[in-house]
Amino acid sequence: MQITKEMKMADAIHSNYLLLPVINRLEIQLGFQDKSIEKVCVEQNVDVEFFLTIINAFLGSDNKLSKQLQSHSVKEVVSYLLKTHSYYLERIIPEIENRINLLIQYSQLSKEEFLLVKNFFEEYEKELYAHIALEEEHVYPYILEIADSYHKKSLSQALENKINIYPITSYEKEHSDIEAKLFDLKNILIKYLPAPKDSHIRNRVLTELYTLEQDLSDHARIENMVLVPKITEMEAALLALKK
Amino acid sequence: MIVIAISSFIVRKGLADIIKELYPGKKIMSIGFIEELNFIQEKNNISLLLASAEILSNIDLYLLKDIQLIKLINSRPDYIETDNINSELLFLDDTESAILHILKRNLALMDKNSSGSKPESVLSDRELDIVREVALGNTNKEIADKLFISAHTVITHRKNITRKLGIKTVSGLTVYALLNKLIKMSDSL
Repeated sequence: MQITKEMKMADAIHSNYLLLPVINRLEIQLGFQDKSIEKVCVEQNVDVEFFLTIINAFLGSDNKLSKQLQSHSVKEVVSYLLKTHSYYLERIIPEIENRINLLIQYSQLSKEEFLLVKNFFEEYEKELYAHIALEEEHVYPYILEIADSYHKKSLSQALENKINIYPITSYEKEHSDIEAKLFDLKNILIKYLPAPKDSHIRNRVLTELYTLEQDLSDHARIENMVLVPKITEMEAALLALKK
Repeated sequence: MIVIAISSFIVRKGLADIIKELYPGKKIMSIGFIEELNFIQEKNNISLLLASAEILSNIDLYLLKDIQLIKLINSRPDYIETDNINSELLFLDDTESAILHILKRNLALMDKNSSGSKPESVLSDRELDIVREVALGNTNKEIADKLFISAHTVITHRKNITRKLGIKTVSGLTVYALLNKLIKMSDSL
């Protein structure tokens, strides 16, 4: 389903509750009564087109995604992606961790089994942190620099060197190991840990993992389908200035 | 799915038609080259494989361990060499009734297996060996040397293990191995 600006904001959320953290990241807060998406966005000072693009990208239906986002600034996209990072680090990961800690209390897991899961998750966390750090310290600053330089139509020698040595495609490095670990963790919890006395906590952990997985894949999709092509184009245009 | 793998077109086509008659509705795939078999094996569940000795000689038989197999032999020899794989032999120059008998029996058996208790995901002994070695931190090359198989075979085993278990990473396999007591906690350190 394509979400349009005439729809009620509440109906968009009813259509998929996983949009809840997404709209928060876009700076929309709950309590919007029966207003349309357009109205809520205007009132809360959010670019409605950008909002729709991100929401529809999250719902994953359209492949026109990159086209639509072309009209938005690189800065907006990066700032959205940064917010998704802090959402992972500050909310989701600590929550999953808490729930994993509850597993020992409410499951019939032995100490060893519990530690296996816990250590596995910690390893996953470390990889996620490293990945996020790489993006925030290297990839996003580079992207912003390119976009800035592109708009000024000037290319410094330093940036030219960067483009030649580490173009954006060299960062396009897989999220794949992060995805694979998450996938494994789900299967370990579903299939291979001994049956719990009470499934509830384990179900909660799994629900969180599925949510995180969907959010991460959306994040990766925006990077790979929007940022990478857009920046590649800008890189080429910048290098052409020198010719 | 039933797979018929033999280079002779006439035999392929003939077998496919006979099986279609005996067992209508089942998906049949005919192939002439080993490469095609590799391809199919990754993508689909093969419930019954009919393959010529020539094609089989190019496959690591261990990979076919869990697949119901009929080995196609051109003519009945005086002496039959047995192999340790659980395969049935079908001699292409046999009488009509003998051939139909073997096919019918295997199709019935295939039905029993597919509805039966043996889940596809159970690892073979060899795959368990591989999981253990991976969990102990060995590389594909090291595992190959230790188990006297090629690195290529190790990789194929690992693909199958990932498919069966739904576990892709080395650390995931380690957790699996520990939970299933394939290795001890002290080994993994």
